[in-house]
Amino acid sequence: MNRVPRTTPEVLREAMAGNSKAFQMLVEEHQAFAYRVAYRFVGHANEAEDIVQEVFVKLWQHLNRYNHEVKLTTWLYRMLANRCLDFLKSARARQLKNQEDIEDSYSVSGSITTDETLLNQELMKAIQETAASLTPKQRAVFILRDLEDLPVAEVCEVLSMTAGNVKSNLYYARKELSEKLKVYYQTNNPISL
Amino acid sequence: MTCRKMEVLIYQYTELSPSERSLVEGHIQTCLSCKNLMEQVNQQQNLIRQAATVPVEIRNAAQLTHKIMSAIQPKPKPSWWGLFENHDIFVPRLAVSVAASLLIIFFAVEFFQENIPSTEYSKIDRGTSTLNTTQFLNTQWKRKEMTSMSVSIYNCLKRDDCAFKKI
Repeated sequence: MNRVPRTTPEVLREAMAGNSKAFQMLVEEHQAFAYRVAYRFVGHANEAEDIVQEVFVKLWQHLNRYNHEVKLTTWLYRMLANRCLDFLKSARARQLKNQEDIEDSYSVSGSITTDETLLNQELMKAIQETAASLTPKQRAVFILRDLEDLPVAEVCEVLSMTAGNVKSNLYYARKELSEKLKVYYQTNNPISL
Repeated sequence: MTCRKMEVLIYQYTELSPSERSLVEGHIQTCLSCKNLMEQVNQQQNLIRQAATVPVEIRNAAQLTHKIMSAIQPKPKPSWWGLFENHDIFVPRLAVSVAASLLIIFFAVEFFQENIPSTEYSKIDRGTSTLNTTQFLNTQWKRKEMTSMSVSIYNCLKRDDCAFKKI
């Protein structure tokens, strides 16, 4: 399952007070999660790293305004989603889309590689490729709800959308993916949908 | 409910309320195409859930941390000067303080003007509409005397009835 990090209140308090050592601990704890989200949005390792860097710099600048009523991860999800959506609308994203296929950051933890994990990797790449054809909003809702497994209420909070809007985007995203994945597996095979 | 509307609910099945779910369950008992769609969507959702467990790994985590930490500026230790830099907090506080100070000064000036008579003129009952000529002229004379006195104490001291001689 996707791991969502938790920062201890002491580390967070120290980081908010401007302690860069504490902030480094916060970065080390959250960067894998942030990279995973950014990579799922943009599908390119370099761009995902740049986005993660920008988001953490922004987090450092605004950490003293952090509201404890909101989870830190929800705040990070929001910053990441906004930055990724801006990227997807940019000319750079269109340029990359024309240039190359999805880069491979999906890997298998540990040394044991089973057929199942390889199949999952293949499947994830296929999902990422087909998700690239969705509108930015549909893609955001799909990534947060279906891949990150966030509850609908949190997706609404992250994307500033109503529940109805989230459900509507989710319907179009799932339908589109279902049709495209079916075509993908008819041509590339291993699993039949 | 039509199959077209049911299709929307089938794709949104995980987000539906219990009553909406039972509506879908009831419909697929009688509609084979919707039942097939339901199975297909369930299968797809299971595969996506399974695929989402594949870890996404950073190529070089330590390097990324280093890049982030190099990009941030160390924050200066809080000082009184920092109050001026944090506009969000400082500006509203300054505005309230200035407004409060101005109000205090205004009321203080008003109070002293009302309660400390500078001349005999202030003793005239301002509420009286009829002019008491004698009182008015006396007051005017005294004011004139006090004004001239304030202009030249030397001239006053030359007169016998000078108030300063009596001190």
